[in-house]
Amino acid sequence: MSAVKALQQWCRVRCDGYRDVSITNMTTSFRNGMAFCALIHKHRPDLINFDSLKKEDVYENNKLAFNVAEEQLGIPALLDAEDMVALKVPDRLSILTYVSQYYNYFHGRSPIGGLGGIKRPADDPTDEPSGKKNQPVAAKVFPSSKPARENSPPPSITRPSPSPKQTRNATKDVVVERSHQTGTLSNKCVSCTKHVHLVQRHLVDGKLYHRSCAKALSATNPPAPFRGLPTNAPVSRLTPLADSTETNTATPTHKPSRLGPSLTEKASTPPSFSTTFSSSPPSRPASSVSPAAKETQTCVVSKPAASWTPSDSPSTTATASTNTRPTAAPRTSTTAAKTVQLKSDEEKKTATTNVVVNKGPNVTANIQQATVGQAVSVVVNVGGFGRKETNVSPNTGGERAKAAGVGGDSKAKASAAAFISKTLAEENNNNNSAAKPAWTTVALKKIDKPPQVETPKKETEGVRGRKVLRADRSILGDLVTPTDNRTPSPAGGSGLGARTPDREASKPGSASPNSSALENKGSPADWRSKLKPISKPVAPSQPSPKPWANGAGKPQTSPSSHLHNPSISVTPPAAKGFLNSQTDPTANGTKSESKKMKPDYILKEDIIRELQEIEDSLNEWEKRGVELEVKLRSSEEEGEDDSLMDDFMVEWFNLIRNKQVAMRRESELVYVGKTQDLEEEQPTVEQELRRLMDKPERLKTTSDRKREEQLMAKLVDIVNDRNAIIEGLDDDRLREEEEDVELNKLMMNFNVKKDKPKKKSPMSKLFGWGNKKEG
Amino acid sequence: MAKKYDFLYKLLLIGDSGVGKTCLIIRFSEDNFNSTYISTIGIDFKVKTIEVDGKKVKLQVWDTAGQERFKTITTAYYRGAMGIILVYDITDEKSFENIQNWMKSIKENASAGVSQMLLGNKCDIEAKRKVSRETGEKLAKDHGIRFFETSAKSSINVDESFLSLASDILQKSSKKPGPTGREVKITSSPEKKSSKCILL
Repeated sequence: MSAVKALQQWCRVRCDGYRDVSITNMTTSFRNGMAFCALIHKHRPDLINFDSLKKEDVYENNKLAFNVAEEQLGIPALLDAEDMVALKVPDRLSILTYVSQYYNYFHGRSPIGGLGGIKRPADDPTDEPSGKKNQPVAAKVFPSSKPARENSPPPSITRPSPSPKQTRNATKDVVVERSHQTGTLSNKCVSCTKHVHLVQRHLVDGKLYHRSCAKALSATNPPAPFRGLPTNAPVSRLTPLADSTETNTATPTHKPSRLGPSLTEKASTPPSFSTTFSSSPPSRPASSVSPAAKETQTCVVSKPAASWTPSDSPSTTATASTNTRPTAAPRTSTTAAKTVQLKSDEEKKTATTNVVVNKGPNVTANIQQATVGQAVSVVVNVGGFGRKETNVSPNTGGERAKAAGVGGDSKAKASAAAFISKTLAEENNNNNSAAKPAWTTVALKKIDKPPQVETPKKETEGVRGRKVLRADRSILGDLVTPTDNRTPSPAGGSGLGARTPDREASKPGSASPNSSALENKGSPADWRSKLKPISKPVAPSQPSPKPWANGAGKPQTSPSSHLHNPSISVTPPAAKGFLNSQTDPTANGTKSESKKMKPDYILKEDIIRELQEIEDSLNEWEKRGVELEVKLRSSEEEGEDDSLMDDFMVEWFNLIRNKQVAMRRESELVYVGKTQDLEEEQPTVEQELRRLMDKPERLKTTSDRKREEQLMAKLVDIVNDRNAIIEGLDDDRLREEEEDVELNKLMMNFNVKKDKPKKKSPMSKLFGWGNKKEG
Repeated sequence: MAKKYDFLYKLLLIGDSGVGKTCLIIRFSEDNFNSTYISTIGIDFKVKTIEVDGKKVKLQVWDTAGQERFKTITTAYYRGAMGIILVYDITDEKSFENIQNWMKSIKENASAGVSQMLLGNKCDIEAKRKVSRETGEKLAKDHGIRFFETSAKSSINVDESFLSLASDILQKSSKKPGPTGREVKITSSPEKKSSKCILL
């Protein structure tokens, strides 16, 4: 039996007894999503209510399975529900690869890191390889019993997940988007416009890149990536919202789709807004701007910048950034941008969603009605044209804290990841420093509150995992060479100082369009969060919310931290500068030393080196993966027997798995590096804080007090970040354990059932990777 | 590497300022002691992995500032703790009296069922003792929690106390779902199975 058959056999056995599930092939048998749901349900009955599923709901079933797998099991969504609907015969190699990840997962292997950017393999019908293949396969395979529901696509449009793909569904946008999103749809790299193979897939903000291209981009524009990082996590969330907005605006008609309403609600509801807010730390502005610049026209970018100046309230800025980002990245097609420019501010309610998103002060008005939260952001982006919007933003700002909480995920992990990414970004970026604090705070808040925008986030995030890592690496590199650029801005202590950084950041952003690509890197955290579905007890990580709840003594510190996010952000740079200049042997010196002495301590150089090694391996695997994919596809086309391709298929699965393992190690290294950096940073901040605190109260100036607050918040942030990392690692560990439990169950089941005694050899051959090193 | 352990427990130390919480933690995690008093600002933590009943337990020990001004910050961390260590100074009667207040704070802020332990620190300074061992023992007994007299400086009972608290948590979690519920999963398969998929 071939590896493929063995895998199919495994699926068949696992799905045995499930209604409406019959595995007779590795294409159409999976099309309606019931098989995926069954596989998940078989191992984790708590995750899916199988009885409630209907085989007719192709989109929903697939969507459910992909989401659950990604969010709860950490299995990256290699497949896209839309494609399952659109293609009568799904791409076989993609299904095989995806199902193999299920297999890996349920056999004690964690697909952490998943396939990296791989999300939608070769799905698009228009796509060269997949398109061709699909047909032949179909012929070979059992024709799907159910006619493809071509009609279903519309619902997808409405679907909550605002991944770029969605856009294509939108009537108007389709064309534009298409060109824009070429990456995803045609498997062309946005950067180099060459074909992207399965292994190489790297999605950034819904745009497809070669992993290497994305990396190159980031390398070329070091600053941009950093900027992007902090923002990324938040952005991803936002993106969904933005999309929804678009959908609403663009096609009011969409209503038919049931999802539509829900989306609208989300958008309109304050919570969504809050999300935006939370995500919009000062740093954001920069990132948002940059993406816009990239995709759209520079002019557009500049506009926002101008608007910035006027808007003094930090909150506004934040909003702006948030909005811009999502919009610009995913959807802003060049066309849209142009349109916008032409129309300029006055264009009202241009039909095109894109336009609205990007610019539109006027549009904003419309949007606002539809979705308050997003509308606001839009306005900001435009450049303060719409006064109303501006007003709105300030108000929101006040509620920022709340909003942030709302937006946040329940998962501590996500926050942890976010922290990590943020921190890294911050460190690298001078400008970003401001951003970081905000981020942190936000993340913390998030934890407590129910995740609202999660769905969208995940989609984007999954892809980013890879990027993040890279970004991290770069960060590490920066760390090695301490950035002295940050001047310890004494002035920074004041709230104003915070703002200033923002503006600056925004400006640079416009200059460097690249940032958009880079942005994703920051998202690893998000991606991580997905991976760590394990529900953790709310822990210290959420300290910020608590203080309020307690209502106990209102220590100046806690409240200040929340309210003054921007100001806090300022702190980091100062801290840095402090660090550099500081030579105090006191506590700091000792502490850091002791830490370095720790057995676990890994030299940065070592971390960087190992990361490089991983990168090299990944490159090699990708290279090989391309060859394999070509071979596999060609043989498939020629209708060769699976057995002939068995060796290749085995190698392919192994390769995919190796990639996953490497990426897991990569993320772990990044965690370690980050922790070490934080541990070194903490004493510095603490020392300055002590100095301030020791100062007699009456001698303290206003700026002293502010600075003190900032430092206090910064200190708490650092501790929380460190904690987030610990929890992140623990989530990983728990997940792995869970997988082992599953394995046991599986084995027991097999023993009982004795389904197919023979399957052992082929399967072990195929999937017997157990012995390989584990992160 | 970083994940080579079976459990992650979060412990939290509370008690008046100056009783030696930080010193206890430093002694425990780094086996070090510094007699210079540096008040803790806000919150911090150290990590140490120990072995409890044959299991590797990663202890994340949270250090809190005893000063009132930081109370809002520190109480936020109560909830995530699985074990809370109340510390007083045997040479400072006030710090012992305040234990009652700290207990109240636990009740208000920590999750129900959190394991607790009482430590009378600085037991190396017998000459200045103000709180008898019996008094401390009685208080602990009244609340049904463990009690140790410790000395971070002389390294007395530090490891022992942390170990026993960790052990308590381990026992508790293996009997019933912990406050967080996560322990349940863990206990079902505390150790990683080395066997991967050979079947099928």
